[in-house]
Amino acid sequence: MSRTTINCEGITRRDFLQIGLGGTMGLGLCDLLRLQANTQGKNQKGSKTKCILVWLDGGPSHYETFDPKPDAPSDIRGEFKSIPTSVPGIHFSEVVPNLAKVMDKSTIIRSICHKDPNHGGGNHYMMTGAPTPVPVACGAFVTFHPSYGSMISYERGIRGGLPAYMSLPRMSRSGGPNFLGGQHAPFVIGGNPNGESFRVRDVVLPKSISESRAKNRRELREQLDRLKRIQDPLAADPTITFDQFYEQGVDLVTSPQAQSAFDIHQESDTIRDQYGRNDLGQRLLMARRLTEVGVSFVTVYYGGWDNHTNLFSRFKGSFMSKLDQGLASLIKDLHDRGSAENTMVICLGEFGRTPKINKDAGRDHWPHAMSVLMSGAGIPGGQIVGATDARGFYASDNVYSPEDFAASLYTKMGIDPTQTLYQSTGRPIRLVNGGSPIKELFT
Amino acid sequence: MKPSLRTPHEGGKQLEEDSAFYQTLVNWIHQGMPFLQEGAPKLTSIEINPSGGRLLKNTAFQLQVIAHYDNESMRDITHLAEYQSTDKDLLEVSHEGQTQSLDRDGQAVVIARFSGLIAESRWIIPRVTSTKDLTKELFANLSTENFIDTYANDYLEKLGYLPSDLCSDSEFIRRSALDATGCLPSVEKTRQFLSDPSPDKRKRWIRDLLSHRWVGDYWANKWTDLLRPNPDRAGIKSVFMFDQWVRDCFRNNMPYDDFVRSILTLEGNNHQAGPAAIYRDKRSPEDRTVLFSQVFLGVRLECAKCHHHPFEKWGQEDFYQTAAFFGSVAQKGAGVSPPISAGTETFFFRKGGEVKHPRTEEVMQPAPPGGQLNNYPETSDPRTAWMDWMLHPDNPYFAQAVVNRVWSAFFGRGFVDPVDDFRTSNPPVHAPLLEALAQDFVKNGYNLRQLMRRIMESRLYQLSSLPNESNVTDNQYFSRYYRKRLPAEVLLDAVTDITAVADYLEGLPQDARAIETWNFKINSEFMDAFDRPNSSSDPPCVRINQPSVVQSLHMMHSENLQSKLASEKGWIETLINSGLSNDATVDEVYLKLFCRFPSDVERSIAVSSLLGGNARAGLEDLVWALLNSAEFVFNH
Repeated sequence: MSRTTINCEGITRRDFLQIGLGGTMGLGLCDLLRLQANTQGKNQKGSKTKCILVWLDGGPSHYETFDPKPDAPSDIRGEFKSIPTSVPGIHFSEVVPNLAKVMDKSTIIRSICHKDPNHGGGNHYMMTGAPTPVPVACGAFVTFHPSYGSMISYERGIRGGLPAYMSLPRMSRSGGPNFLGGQHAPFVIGGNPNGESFRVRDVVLPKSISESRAKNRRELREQLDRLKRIQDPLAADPTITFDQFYEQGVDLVTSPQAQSAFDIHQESDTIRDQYGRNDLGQRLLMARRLTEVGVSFVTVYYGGWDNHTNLFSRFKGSFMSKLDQGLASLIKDLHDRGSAENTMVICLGEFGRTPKINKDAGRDHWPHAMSVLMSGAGIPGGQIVGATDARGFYASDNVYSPEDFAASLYTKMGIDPTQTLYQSTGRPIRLVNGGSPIKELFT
Repeated sequence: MKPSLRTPHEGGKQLEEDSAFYQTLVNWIHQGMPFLQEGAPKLTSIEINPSGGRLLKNTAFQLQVIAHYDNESMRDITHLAEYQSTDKDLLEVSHEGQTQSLDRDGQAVVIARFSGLIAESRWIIPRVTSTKDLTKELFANLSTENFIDTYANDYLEKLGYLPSDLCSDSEFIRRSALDATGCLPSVEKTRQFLSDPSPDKRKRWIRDLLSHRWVGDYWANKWTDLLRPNPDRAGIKSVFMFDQWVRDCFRNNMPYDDFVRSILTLEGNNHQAGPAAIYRDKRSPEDRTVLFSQVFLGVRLECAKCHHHPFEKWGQEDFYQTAAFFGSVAQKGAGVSPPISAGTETFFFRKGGEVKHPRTEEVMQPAPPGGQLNNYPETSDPRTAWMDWMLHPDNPYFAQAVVNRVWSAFFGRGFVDPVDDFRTSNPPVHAPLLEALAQDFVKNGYNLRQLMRRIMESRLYQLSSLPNESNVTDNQYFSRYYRKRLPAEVLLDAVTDITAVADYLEGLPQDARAIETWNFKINSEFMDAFDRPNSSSDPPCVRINQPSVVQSLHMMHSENLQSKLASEKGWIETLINSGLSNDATVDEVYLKLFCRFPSDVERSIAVSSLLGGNARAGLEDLVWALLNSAEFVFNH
């Protein structure tokens, strides 16, 4: 067993996670070894569904996206008109015309709401399904609970040498693993895939190293790594698992299939243009390619939605059109390629925005109403779930909580949302506390 | 409802609806849930028989549990007590106390619980049933360096594990330098040591290590991991002050009791007094109780905040009387205002603050968990009394908790493991040794470096990581050294020292080492891959030192590492230009990375890698290969 530390110096935290305090009482050597053998994901089989989560950090306005209120007074309605979508009777804001065209492939939930008007708390609630136990202010980075991506990594583990959870171009502030441990943190791929020199870090060879030189290096390593391995499984030598991960790393850089997935230049110009020749568009395309090669959960972080001022002028520009074009192309592309069935696309932020437009032509924080887009993985197309009241103040019909959303996401990913996890102190924590899957997503 | 799972229960199903226990509960509820029966004798203690000893494998026996009452009556409660085995691979126990050892060796304890009281039955199950292969003489002839070995050998003999051989000089200097200072030894010191024929050179090496420049920072990190607040919450300046203060304490080898006292009796403000940041972060007496009891006593009281600890004697009473020690800490000034939290806040003693039991609403008198305290003047800070209690010779927890932590830093696990979970139902291994070490530590004035010296001087610490026939299954009794992956900061510093190219660490001086980082927001893909504590996470101080694929990928392919190897200002460039022969170059590489000379086979393979025409590339490839080897990534 590797000498992992807990609360900085103790038993493997994983032992607790999997067995819990009750189990720890009788935790035997065999248990520890079984756990050791299973360190990188407890459910290697399970569902094949992937997820691309587009995180609109800051909290996008529901009015200017998927829940326009054309009949509300102008100080609520805002500057934009509403437009019809590909589904009769459903209208979006005029600034998302491309997303309107893929409404037949999407469900919009207009009735998720919560009560935390701070970015810190809202981020946490929507990225983990759990509210923060103490108030968390806007700028704060905190986690008290594993994020969706980390949990999926924990369940599925490494596949084909690939981390299960990746995040582009940074992690969201509550997107971490909390007590699941650092190896379930997102693998962050920075940089701009729209740039000519873009490379996914660490999973491809360094620029200056040719394949033949890499091969030489590995041969040399094989000859010179002479520390004696203790083969008896009961000795639980951590260098044995070290070797397994090294081999997986080798498999990854020597697999033509995996390597081509990381190379966005393999994509046709037509497709690249469809997604938009910009950072977000190409990240969404990269996300699709990553899910195709086996990454289970990809977060695409797209911040800038905290529009307290000049919301309308910003939304008229490329800030919105990049999302509209890129996300719509992703949804359409996944359907065209026949991979929508096992790839779920979700787009959301931490909350909606205030109904009344403020003096700076902006909207403020408003968790009582928000819109969430979901597509693929058997989610019905052309469906609106729930509604806000006539002026968009409050979720009014079929109201759902972040816990319901989390339970839905996990269920779609083949993970039991009612399961219990264990913190390092042995304290049992429900993965999702209450909440049940949103039934309209499962018809 | 909950225990029978008729309504959801995080604790799972505990009761069958048709069981006698279930019926007892139902009857009690029907009777109006009377709390105490008038005049009923009070339970004073429970006793378990037999209470332990040596036990052969595959042996069954019946435990008996007796309850003692204050009217001197006794009752056989064998059928009422609950039983748990601390290692169910060794020892199984049924609900009725029927116990069975299995086909495994080691230490196991059966805990019996009844009405909040605990009794334990401790067993050592030896590896061998006969002493044919491990004779008494074999153990008697083991050499001992200090009392650690005397105790350890005695215990290991009972278990039937013959300690591994002594490790080599190279292993010893690499291991001890990494464990004590977080740094690889220099090539020069390595050469000196390896060529030194004197028999006491390991002792002198240890003495030198303990005055090494980075020993303070390295050990400070072990406490900042546990105590350092999130800068977003407590304020950047407060946390920086705190971090620097802890570093100073450990650089100066402040006696551990003084260090703890400075924290526990703090008065002052967060921009002057280092420990104030902790009070700024943990704002309630309850939060402080949880943190301080876990870090300084190794006792997890958190469960008892809301209900009786499920496996221990701690109840809410214990929790809130402990919290009462911190009830008289007042604060004035600007409180926390995340994410900047820049205000100044002063903490000080003000008499009269109180902590109430949440259920009974009784105002709690300060008292340690499970104990009582004589009255002390209301005008003095109860935290002083708490500190006195912590240091009292009868207190079993304080010294053992820190000795256990330090031990685990060297051996990869504690006598009690997890290190902050001392409880009857999580008994220590080598209990007599733990006690002796704690006494020695107190006798030496709570001197941490003295403790480190004791540990490193022992033969036990200097054992090989390779097992012999008798101890290959040993993972917790220290009969060999357990291999450890190097911590994130140590590994990064080692790569920096080897390549002579440092990472840019935001906000730190240009030549700063990774062990000097104090804020998780200082970007480092390397440290993220190898896991460092993140104070934005609650709980914060979790480090996983298992290998992972992300780590392998980073070591193998990161542009950053390649650029360090290829740097024109780096060590490889220096070595190429040094005019050394290929043989001597390879020696340098091996001494630098592994603290040893290569074997003949290794030297010939390594030299041939330099002969391909491009010696520069060949040397990069050689160093790459060795950096990606287990011998580099692990302490062994």
